Amino acid sequence: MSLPTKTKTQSPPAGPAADSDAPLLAIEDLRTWFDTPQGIVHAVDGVDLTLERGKTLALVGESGSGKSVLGRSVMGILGSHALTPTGSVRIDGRELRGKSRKELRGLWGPVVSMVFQDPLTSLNPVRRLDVQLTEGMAVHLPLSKADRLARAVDLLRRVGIPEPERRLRMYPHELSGGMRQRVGIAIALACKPRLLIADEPTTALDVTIQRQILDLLAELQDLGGMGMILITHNLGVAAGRSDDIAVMYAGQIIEKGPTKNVFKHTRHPYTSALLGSLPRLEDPPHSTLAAPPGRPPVVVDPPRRCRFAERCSHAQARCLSEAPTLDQDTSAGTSVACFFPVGTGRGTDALKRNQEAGRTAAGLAVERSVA
Amino acid sequence: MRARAAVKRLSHVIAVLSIVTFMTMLMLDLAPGDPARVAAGDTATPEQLAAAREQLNLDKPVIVRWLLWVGDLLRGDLGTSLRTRQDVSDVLIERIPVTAEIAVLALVMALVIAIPVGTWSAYRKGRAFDKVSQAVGSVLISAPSFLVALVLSYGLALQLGWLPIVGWAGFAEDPVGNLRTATLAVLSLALCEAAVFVRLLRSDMITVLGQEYVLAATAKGLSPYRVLVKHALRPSSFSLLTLAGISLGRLIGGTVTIEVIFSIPGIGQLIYQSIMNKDVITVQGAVAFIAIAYIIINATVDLMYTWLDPRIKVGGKR
Ligand SMILES: Nc1ncnc2c1ncn2[C@@H]1O[C@H](COP(=O)(O)OP(=O)(O)OP(=O)(O)O)[C@@H](O)[C@H]1O
Ligand SMILES: [Mg+2]
Repeated sequence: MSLPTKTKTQSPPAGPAADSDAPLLAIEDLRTWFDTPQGIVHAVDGVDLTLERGKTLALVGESGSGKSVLGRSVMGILGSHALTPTGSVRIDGRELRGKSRKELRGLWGPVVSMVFQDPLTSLNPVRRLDVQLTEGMAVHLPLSKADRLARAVDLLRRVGIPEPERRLRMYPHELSGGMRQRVGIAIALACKPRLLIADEPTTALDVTIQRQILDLLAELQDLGGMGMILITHNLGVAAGRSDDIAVMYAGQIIEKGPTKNVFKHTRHPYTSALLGSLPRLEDPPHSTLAAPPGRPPVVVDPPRRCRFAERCSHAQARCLSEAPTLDQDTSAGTSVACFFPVGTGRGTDALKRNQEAGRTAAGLAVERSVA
Repeated sequence: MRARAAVKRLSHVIAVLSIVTFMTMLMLDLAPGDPARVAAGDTATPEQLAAAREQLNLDKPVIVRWLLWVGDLLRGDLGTSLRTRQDVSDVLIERIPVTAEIAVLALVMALVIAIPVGTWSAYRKGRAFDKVSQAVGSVLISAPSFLVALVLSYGLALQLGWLPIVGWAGFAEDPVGNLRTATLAVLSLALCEAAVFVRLLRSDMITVLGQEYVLAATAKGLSPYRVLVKHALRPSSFSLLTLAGISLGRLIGGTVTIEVIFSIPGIGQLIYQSIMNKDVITVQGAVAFIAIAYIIINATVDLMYTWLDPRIKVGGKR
């Protein structure tokens, strides 16, 4: 097996202290692989991203594309059968890769924290909410017990939970799914993180509460400069609430750039298919991605080719023999990993050729156009 | 609702007690030997034997004898030993504290060993500590407790001379001596129980450590100690609690081999001797005690489930 290994890496000498010029988050060539009975799953496979203070990066993509694994890799909290991620993750210029567990512990909460995707499984069923909310503060914040409880009450109130004092004495199973999701958000915010990784934080919430939560997060970003990676299925939320957007497919970013540009000059056929029926902010909150036909692959021992080729109406012979890299597209002001992007001459030609042939180079049937 | 549950539980208890004591009487009746000879003595004449038989109701069917015994029991009379003529209740009151002390100490010691070892083994799955504890556990699980007892008494008592090999000192007269005489028995029992506990806790804990909420707790920056003890231990303890209850019941019932090996005057030894002597009445009394102890332990375990998991309501299901 190549790249990532399970060995314990020696932590490098204390790197440069927090660097105010460096971006809040800089990810370079991040790879997270899992050793499974089916083979090595390349869940995250060479991702580069940056995020500035106070900004929001929306991470979108179909189920299974690797969004959650990417978020967890940034935190450094992968399960035991994950091979140690390679690549670099820097927060405020400080390298996190290779840091010891103990050093990371000091960062989890005040520097980087995570809203877990599933609120039903990410709260401990046998502990009361007061403990679950305040125990992180006890580690990181210089607060007395009373102050911690007061802060917990305040957090619950701000995420829209009525009667917070009473709820604090409850167990998770006594709360609805939506409330548990909000408790998860409150826990993630408890130690005022500089970087928040919010993994679908509003899926179980109705529109009003969703707006309230997103407003709260925006406020924390404006006041405290908190940066956020917002993982979402909801393109409406992504469009309205992010500065940048990154589209993920099969463990890789296939298109990214300022949100406006990506929406306006969509280049990747996959993104274009996702945007096919873009819901607007006014739409119900559960309108999710309009995926192109087919399923995203589980990436085991990937061949050198475009991973989207099987489902792509633009696919040409080149797409099957060569992997496109994420390159800048100056005309769109974004980056895209595609040989035949939408809205370019090459892309249009490719699609036309496929339409004339009735099928793509990968064998996908395309509606025949009348020449 | 609560009242109905209580009635149900009570009828259950009565049924269990009845079946257990009746079966004991039946088994002893089928076993070879003659209780009347025990009562009348070896030199008894045929007339004396017949008299004893009538006095002990041995001429009546088992079911009648059992009903008579239950009638006496309800009046608080457990009868008198056929051999020693002592009141069975007096004998039990003398013996129960001895066995109870050993049982409780063994259980506590087993848990004190098993909880940290099992937790740490799960946390360090596949590492050196885990491998060693697994290997030691396998040996202890496959070895019968009397073998462990023999090895321990050889090492600690014979070779090192730290502890007396056999005998028993009452706690009231000689507290230090009491603990010294109890140590070998407690240790032998505890090690064997602990080995099973470790195995169970380790496997449940490994499952729990893979749960999302443990990951979420870790992601708060808590120390591994806090994650393990405050987040993982309680949800990992359900099977352990069940097993600990069963173990305690077994230990209270008297571990015959251990009590016989170390000449400890407890319930196990009493039952052993009484069966040998065909002392039916004494066996009956001891068995009734054990059944009641089991029932009390079970009820306590049920209560503790609700403490372990707040999702369980008293007298109900999840
Ligand atoms: N612990 C693991 N072991 C093995 N494979 C894993 C593990 N975690 C994730 N994967 C695989 O990695 C891929 C990406 O999973 P991930 O959970 O990141 O998807 P996602 O984009 O978050 O999807 P969703 O939108 O459904 O949350 C999937 O193919 C998944 O099967
Ligand atoms: Mg996910």
